[in-house]
Order: sequence, then structure tokens, then C-alpha cells
Amino acid sequence: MDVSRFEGTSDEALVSSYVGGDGRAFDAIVDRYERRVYAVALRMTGNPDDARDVTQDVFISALRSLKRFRGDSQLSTWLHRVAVNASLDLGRKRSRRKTSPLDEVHETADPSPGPDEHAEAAIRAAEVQRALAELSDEHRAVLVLHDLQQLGYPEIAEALGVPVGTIKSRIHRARAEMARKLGHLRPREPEGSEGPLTP
Amino acid sequence: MMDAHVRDLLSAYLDDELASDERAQVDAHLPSCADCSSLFEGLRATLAEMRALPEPEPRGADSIALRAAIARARSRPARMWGALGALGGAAAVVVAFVAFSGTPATDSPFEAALAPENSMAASTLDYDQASARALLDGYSLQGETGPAIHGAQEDATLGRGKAADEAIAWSAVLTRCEKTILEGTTDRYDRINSFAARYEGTPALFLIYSVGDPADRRELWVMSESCDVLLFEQARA
Repeated sequence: MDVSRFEGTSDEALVSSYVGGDGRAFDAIVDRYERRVYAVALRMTGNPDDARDVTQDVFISALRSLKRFRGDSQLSTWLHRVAVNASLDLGRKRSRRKTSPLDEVHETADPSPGPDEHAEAAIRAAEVQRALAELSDEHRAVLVLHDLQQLGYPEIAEALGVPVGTIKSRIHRARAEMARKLGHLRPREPEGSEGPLTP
Repeated sequence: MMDAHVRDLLSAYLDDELASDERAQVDAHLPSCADCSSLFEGLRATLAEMRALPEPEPRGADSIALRAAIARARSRPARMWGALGALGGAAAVVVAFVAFSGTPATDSPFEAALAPENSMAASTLDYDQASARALLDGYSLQGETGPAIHGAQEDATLGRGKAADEAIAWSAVLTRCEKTILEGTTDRYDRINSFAARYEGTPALFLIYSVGDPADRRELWVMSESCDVLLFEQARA
């Protein structure tokens, strides 16, 4: 399906075209955003089968909802919001499958350093993914959107429907918790002592 | 001595999300504060590890399945009288409501089904995504268990006059819309239930399937009379 004529077209124009009846514009939206939606879904759910299902849910939902898209928010923000929510919904419906270190998420690290470094990087990536899976839904969502999807604080705030100030503190707490899990910060000191963090 | 205020700004500082005056404050404070500096370093290292995660790539089969699912959801209704053989031999054809006791002046079988005079109409409920999702979750993969549909019965009046015509029209809509779902999939679809209800105010066809052989998921399709997909939900075993 040839959507090359849409290269360079803005998201806004793509949505308009689709709403105006050009089905190919929707195909272009899928091509443009499939990887991003899948990435959010995979890092939120922790396993590829769930990520696949979430990705389908997101775009089929978009098929319907885009016709009513008021353009208040960007398409990108909207897709990120739906991807996060769909991932969380899926997780709530059934207990999230535990990620096992080398199985669920097939991390492919850069092979050029050599076989040992490759294995090490893949193992570490799986550890990071597992630590991410242990975070609360809220904490995981903000780190995925900021660190991995490169959204700024205002866009994350809009995607998640909370004030920017909330995003600021949530990211701080989430990242600190990840840091403790990954060994970049000491485990939390008991209440009242002078650790680097307060709750 | 750690400055509590600066400490709380360190992630935003790392992410370059501070206003210039706050950024200046942190710039001034960090060099002289070992605790803040080590916290900052811990946060920085964590961000670096997150950024080092490889970019996930959808599996080839997933990309294909995505486009197939979209195509099914979009395809225009084909000929009205699709071959019933497309449903698969063992399809459980449960027409969840049929008896039209009254006949309101409308051509739409959906509206007829939902008219208040038809006490046998499948559902007077107006669903939204959350309640539709809950509906799907109420069905077990073993098949027919699920929420009771008000007054759902085989139509005893089939074959008699206008009620029969409307039942046939309803059946045609169901068949037509179902065909758009089944086209282009090789998965086994067994219809567990179907009924009319409103979806966000719009009269709609609700179709619930057990999918796979062996069955590994359930799907709910909510479709308008012209077979547009209003909602698609799936639940794995």
C-alpha cells in the first residue's frame, strides 16, 4: 500500500485527510506510529504478546476515534495516552506475566563490542526491564514516556491528564526508585535518618 | 548539608525542564554539596541505563497481524447474503433476541430491535467502553456462560408476516457485518453471542466470539448498522 505521498505530511494534515475520507492517510498514520505505540506497550506490559494486543487495540480505537478528533491535542500525544491506558487496562485485566531475565523481552544489544559484551548488555537490559516492571503503573508510565519516548514534561502531563508539577515529582520519585533497584543509589534509609531522599 | 528544595529539583534539572532561575540555583548549589551531587549522579546513571535500552521492534508477524486486524475492522460490507459456510461448521448461531412483538414504523432492524414496544429486545442498556469491556470479561472461554440478556429467546413467530421480515432483516445485517470480521482471517471464530444494544447512544450490533483452535481468546465487536467498527476488545485466556 503506497503511502509515500504522505511522507513529510504533518500529523494534522494526515488526520484531516483521513477524516475527509482518505483511508490511505490512516495507513500512513499506522506506518508512522506503529513502532512508537509498540515500544510504549512493550515497556509498559513487559512482554511482546501483550504489546501486540495493545498495539492492535490502540489503532482500532483510533480508527473510530479519529473521526471525532477535535485536534485539541496532538495526534502523537493522543496515541501515547491511549497506548499507556490500553497497557494498564490489559495489565489490570490479568496479572502481568512476570518477565524472566532472558526470555520475555528479546533485547538485542549492539553486537559490535564482541560476544561477551553483547551478552552482558542484553542481560543488563533485561534487568532494567524487570526493574521497570516492578514500578507502580504511574511511575513506569512517566519513565517510559520521558526516558524512552523522549516526551517533554508538558506533553507527558497532557497525555496523562495531570498537572506538570505532578509529572515533575512523579518522575523524580520514579527515577529514584529505579536508581535504588539498579544500584545507582543506596537502598532507602529508615525514616528520620539523613538519606539522600525523603518519601 | 543538603538543601531539601534543590534535592527535589534534581530530576527536572537533569531533564533540562527547569526555569532558568531554578537551574541557576542548582548550578550554584551542586559543586558544594556532596549529598546532592551523589544523588544527581545516581539519577544520571539511571537515566543513561534507560536510554541504553534497545528500541523495541515489533515482530514481523505482529505487524502483519496489526494491519490485518485494521483491514478487517475497516472493510466495507460486501454482498448482503454472504455464504454462511464462512462461519465455520460449528459456529454457535445464537440469535439473542428475535421476537418482535410490536412493529414500530422504521426500516432499521436495529431501531426495531431497540424499540421499547419490543419487550423482547436484547438489551435496553447503553454501553460505553468500560461496560462493554466488562461485558466481554464476563464471558468464559468455555462458551455460553455470560451475562443474561433480557428476554433473549428464539423467535417463536419466525415465518409469520412482518415480524418474520424484520427477523430476516436483522439476520442479514448480522451476516453482513460478520462477514467483514471473518474476511481475511484464518483464525477460527465461533460466535458465542450476538445482540442489539446502544453503544454510546448509537444502536449497535454486539458480537462476541471465541477465537482460535484451540480457543485462546474472546473478542467483542461492536458495529454500526453499516458495519463500521465502533469498538473492538479482546481478552486472552
